Amino acid sequence: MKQDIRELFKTEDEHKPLPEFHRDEFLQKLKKQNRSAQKPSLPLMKFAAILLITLSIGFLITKVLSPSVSEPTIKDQMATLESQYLKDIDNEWQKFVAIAEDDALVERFRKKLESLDQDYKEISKQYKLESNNILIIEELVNNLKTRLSILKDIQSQIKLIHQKNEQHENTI
Amino acid sequence: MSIINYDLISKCKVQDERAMMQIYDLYCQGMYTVACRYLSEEDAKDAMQDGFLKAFSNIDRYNFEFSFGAWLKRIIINTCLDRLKKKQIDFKPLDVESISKVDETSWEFNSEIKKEAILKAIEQLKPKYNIVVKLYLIEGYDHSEISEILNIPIKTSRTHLRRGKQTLQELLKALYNEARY
Repeated sequence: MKQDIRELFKTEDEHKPLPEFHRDEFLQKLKKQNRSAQKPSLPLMKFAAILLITLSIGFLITKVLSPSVSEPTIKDQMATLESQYLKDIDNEWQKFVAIAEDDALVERFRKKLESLDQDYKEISKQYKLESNNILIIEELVNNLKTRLSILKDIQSQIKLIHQKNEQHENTI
Repeated sequence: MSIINYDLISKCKVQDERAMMQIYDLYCQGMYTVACRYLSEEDAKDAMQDGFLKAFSNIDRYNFEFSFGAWLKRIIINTCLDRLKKKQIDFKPLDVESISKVDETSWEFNSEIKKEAILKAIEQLKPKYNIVVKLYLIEGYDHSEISEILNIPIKTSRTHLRRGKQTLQELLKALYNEARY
């Protein structure tokens, strides 16, 4: 007589008795697993921390180096400088006009200053395009400086002439 | 799938610990019995519990397509086999030497042979044959399932089973003859 032994295994085995306390043990394991599932895993936290540090360093670097962030301060400084110079130039101009007795001289200087002002407007257009170009800023400042120093120079020369004239008059 | 199970599993999916314990209570006995076929009792208990933990943490993947018991059993068996693999059982085939052509479908054994004797004989098989024979004969998986579980080609699964069965027949024949004379 033959039998297909596969048939034998279609019926359920007798159950193996489970070890004592297996249930408590499993409950502990389950609680542990569920706890760690709720908390983000350690590698994930590490990754998040690294990401955070990288981002903040990156932010600091861009803040220090980025032109876009420092731009307003340079522009502000430039605007203050410009208005201060223009005020001084205007003051000196008024003083010059007051002491200058030669109309031709005044006219010559007016043209000189106008031409410098024309230059200044041209450079300003470039400055609007490249407000961080230090060379352009230097040109602007030099332009203002030149105007101011021209006016001061001519005044001191006028004063010198006046003094000489006075001395001359006194000696006579 | 019973309505009770459906309800319990749905609760497990929202991390209900009490529902998980109820599932454990329902299935632990059966699953422990399965695990004991592959591992010693202590290892079997650990593998069974690990399997449950794996099942609960992947419960979202269970889609009610198969019975929960079958899904769980597959996970438990995989966990057991992972432990066996750590003990370095090589499931790769030997060179295809003289494989005598045996009718693959025939599992006809002498009818006097008892189930216990067969189980005992299975334990005497080399590990790689032992596993395939168990998966086929006891768990009822087919070759495509076995190839999936063990990550081996179907052909290898067939070869192992054929060899396992041959050896089994020889072992049982000897036993039967001894008993007779």
